[in-house]
Amino acid sequence: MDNSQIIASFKNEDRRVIEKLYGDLRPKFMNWLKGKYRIGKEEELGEIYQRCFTILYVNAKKGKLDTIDSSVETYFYGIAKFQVLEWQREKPLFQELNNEDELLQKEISQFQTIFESAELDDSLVRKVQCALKVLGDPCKKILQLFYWNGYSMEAIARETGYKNESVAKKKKYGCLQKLKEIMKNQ
Amino acid sequence: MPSKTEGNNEEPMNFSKEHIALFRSYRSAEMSPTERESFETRIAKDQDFRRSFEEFEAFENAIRDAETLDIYDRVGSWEEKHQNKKNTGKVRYLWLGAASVAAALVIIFFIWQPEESQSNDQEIVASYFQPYDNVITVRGKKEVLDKALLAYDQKNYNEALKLFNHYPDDSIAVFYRAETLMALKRYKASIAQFDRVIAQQGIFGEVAQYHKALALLGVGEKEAAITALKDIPKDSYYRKEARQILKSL
Repeated sequence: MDNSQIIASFKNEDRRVIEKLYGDLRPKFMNWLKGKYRIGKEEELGEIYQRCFTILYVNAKKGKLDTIDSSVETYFYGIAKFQVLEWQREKPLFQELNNEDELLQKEISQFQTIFESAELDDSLVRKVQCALKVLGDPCKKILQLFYWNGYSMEAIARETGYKNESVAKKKKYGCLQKLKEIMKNQ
Repeated sequence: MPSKTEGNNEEPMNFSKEHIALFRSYRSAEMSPTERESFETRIAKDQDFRRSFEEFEAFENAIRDAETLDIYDRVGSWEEKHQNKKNTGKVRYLWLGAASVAAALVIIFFIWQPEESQSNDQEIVASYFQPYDNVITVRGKKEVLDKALLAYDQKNYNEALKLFNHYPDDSIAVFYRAETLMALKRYKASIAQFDRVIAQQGIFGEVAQYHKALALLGVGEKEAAITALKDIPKDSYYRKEARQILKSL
């Protein structure tokens, strides 16, 4: 598969293809981690790989890979360099990477709070995640487009078929209230 | 980014429509310098207003991060499969080693103890069957289906089954009903559902074919299971597992 096919799979949520890619990249990546960073525990290797792949998945879905010049795999290893640095912040065994890509580094550090929240069942984001599932579409979609994709209300109106920005805005407010109610009743 | 409203017992997330508009206007830099200054003064002086602002920020951040968390969980379930495969692989290797040493005894054992043989088959089913991830975002008004998928996600299979039964002909519900029945070890009932999924030739066809083979093994129809496993196409994602099972049968 070439770059554009891989990126399209992420954007179209073709999970079978994405899962296959996950399995295909895994062995080489694990060996690279073991060799370059001397990480030996299978559990740690798996967690780092999971985090790197999540970042790749999110960035590809958000269109951040649309303009990359390198291959998806090279981009993935770029993510991994910074993710390992984040991982080793608490266990400084191997340090020092060039700050050649500050933007990517900054982006990756923003993911860390989400990864940490994932471990807590009672974190707010876990509660919201659960409530969003109950909320369902179209509300979930509207909130996702606004908060996750960063769409304007005008773009959301276009995407969801609402008459105009003002209608979409009202709908979004209603959705926030519903979400709040679901969370209070959880 | 961090969501930290936990521990606040005073009527959480009690922000009004006006507050929301104000908060968003502040965050999106739509305010004039004077309005901004006034907002910040209020934040500094009014404790309730500040708390409401912080809660709203945390709430919005959590909504934004929830999708990433979904993806992280999904990738995590794939990672889990790889880790499990590795572990079950080791166990299987040891088991096969022992079995080869006692091959003659095992053959006699299988011939004279068909029930025991079936229990081994069921162990194989248990070690290879992984309920398929919930990959569905329900659109429209199928709220019950959404709840069913949520129960399925939470491994609350009895509840999920009841809810899936509200949609006897929905293709998603048929597939996940089959998966739920498998998870409940109701193999016979799952076979009929898998047949329907396979007949639809949709996105779940490939996994349904593999899981039906496991279900056949689960009900003791070994020959049919072997045929079904052999029929899994070369380009199928489940081909490798199918070959491994065939070797151990």
